[in-house]
Amino acid sequence: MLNFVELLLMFVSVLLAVAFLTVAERKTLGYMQRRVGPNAVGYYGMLMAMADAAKLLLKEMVMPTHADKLMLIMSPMMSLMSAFLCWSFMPFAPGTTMSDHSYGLMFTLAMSSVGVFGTLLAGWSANSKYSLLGSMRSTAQLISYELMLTTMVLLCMLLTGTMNLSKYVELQESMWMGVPLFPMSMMWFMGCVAECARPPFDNVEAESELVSGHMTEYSSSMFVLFFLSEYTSMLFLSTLTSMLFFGGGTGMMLGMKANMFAFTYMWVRATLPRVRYDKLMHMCWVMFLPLLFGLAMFLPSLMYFMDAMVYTYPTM
Amino acid sequence: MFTFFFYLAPMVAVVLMLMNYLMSNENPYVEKNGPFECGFTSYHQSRSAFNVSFMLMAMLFLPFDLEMSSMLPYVMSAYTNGLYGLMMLIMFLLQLVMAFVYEMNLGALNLTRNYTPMIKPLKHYLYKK
Amino acid sequence: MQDLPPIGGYEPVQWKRNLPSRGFRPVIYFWLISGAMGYGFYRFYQGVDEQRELTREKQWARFFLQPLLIAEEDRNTARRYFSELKRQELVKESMSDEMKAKFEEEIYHDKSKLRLPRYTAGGPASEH
Repeated sequence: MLNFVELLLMFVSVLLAVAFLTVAERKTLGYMQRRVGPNAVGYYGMLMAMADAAKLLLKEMVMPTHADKLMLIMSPMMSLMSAFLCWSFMPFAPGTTMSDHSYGLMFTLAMSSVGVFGTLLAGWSANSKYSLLGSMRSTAQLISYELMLTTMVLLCMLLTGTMNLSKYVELQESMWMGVPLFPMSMMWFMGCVAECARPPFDNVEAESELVSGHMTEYSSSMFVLFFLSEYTSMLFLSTLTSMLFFGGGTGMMLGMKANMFAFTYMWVRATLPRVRYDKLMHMCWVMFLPLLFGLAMFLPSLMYFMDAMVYTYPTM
Repeated sequence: MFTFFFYLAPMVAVVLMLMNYLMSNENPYVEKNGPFECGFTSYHQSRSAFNVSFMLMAMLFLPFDLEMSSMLPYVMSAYTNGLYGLMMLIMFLLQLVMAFVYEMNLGALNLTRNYTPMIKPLKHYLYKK
Repeated sequence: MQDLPPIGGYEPVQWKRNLPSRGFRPVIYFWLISGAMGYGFYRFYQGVDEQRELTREKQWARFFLQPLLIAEEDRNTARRYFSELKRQELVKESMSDEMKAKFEEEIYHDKSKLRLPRYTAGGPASEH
């Protein structure tokens, strides 16, 4: 019984984190552009997210006439599921995880790649030009950057010799992986921003060209699901950044690190203009990927010749 | 516990949608339900052809994703495999890099097609007669 | 009448911005980062050594525990075997004759192998 309470607590805290992240984003963007942002609902606009959620849940659910209804409903659910299931192997403290599995990181990778299907199906099913264009763009961008991120996770796994995230954090007691892999951690951050389709790389829902990308035809609760999944995966990736490269941590410490990275997403959004789409893809395929190939050959060789391969076996 | 989490995620989605369905009022009409368009009624052009370079990108993604999944076992057993595994990994990656260089030379990674011959002559012969 | 460009064309536009360079020279950044990476790798190797030692310790602990674990497993198997025999006796008591004849038929005719039961019908071992 207590297990279920714990599960619900974790789930609700993820949801609340997402809710307050949206308010925090609006506030941050507001102050960065010399305005106040939301400040009317609750103390300093803290309850803005609740008000937004209530408003969206009371709105009409518009079903486009030419749409494929089943796919239209399925796709936000798929992206929400993939975003939430990423959290299932995330250790918040030693042993404080939903499932302490020795192949957790692999499951996490698999789940984060399932998210692509949500956007792809959403764009196809809505039967609108903007949706289709947006989903084409977002699919190409997400799979390209996912390739990059997966390679980096693989290299991190090579250095620590484990796929269990608790073990991974434990292994970083000697050194944060972000220090020996500093250039790679910078690349990882750029890849994360692109994977979340966050503003410098938000060509998938560029408001001025495609109305809202693959979410054009979505309204009310289905839009909420997409919104939730987007912000959940953003929070997840910032937590994963702090876990893979910056030592993870216990409870509060991990939360602070993750928040710092979540803040950088907003900072980048307020600072930089949008990158042209072909430049973005070019950066992934022609700059990052060859670099990562080089690293994937260099790092194992270095580790072999320094005799620094970690010896663990998977059941430990 | 993971199993329950696996069920909980779609359940929350369904509950949200159901709540919305029960609480919201409905007032559908043709213009609202039609596909989104800027000020005029869209006729059936939605599932139009898209640029082939997106498809090409997806095709290119496949071999590289396979590469990831073939690297994974080595990554997990690097200590046990020793020098033999390392050499195999490097040979495998070198082959892939060669193919990648060929692709880059073909211009398959360029999203912008300028309708100019972009294919540079590649020296695919080892010696000339 | 249209405004035409002046004869000889416009002045060349100076599009390059002459911003003052901030921070150190690039080479210094390069060496700083390389130094940090080198230190990081050094600490990482130390961590790997420690981890190997821990794994070795864990494995040797396991090796020394192995006889105990095997004994435990054997005890469990024996308990299941005897409880299965007892269960068969109990079942046999409440059977009709033709059922009993059928029941006592051999299932496996190969006597060269010992087949241990994988389940028990009764409660925990203390009841037997």
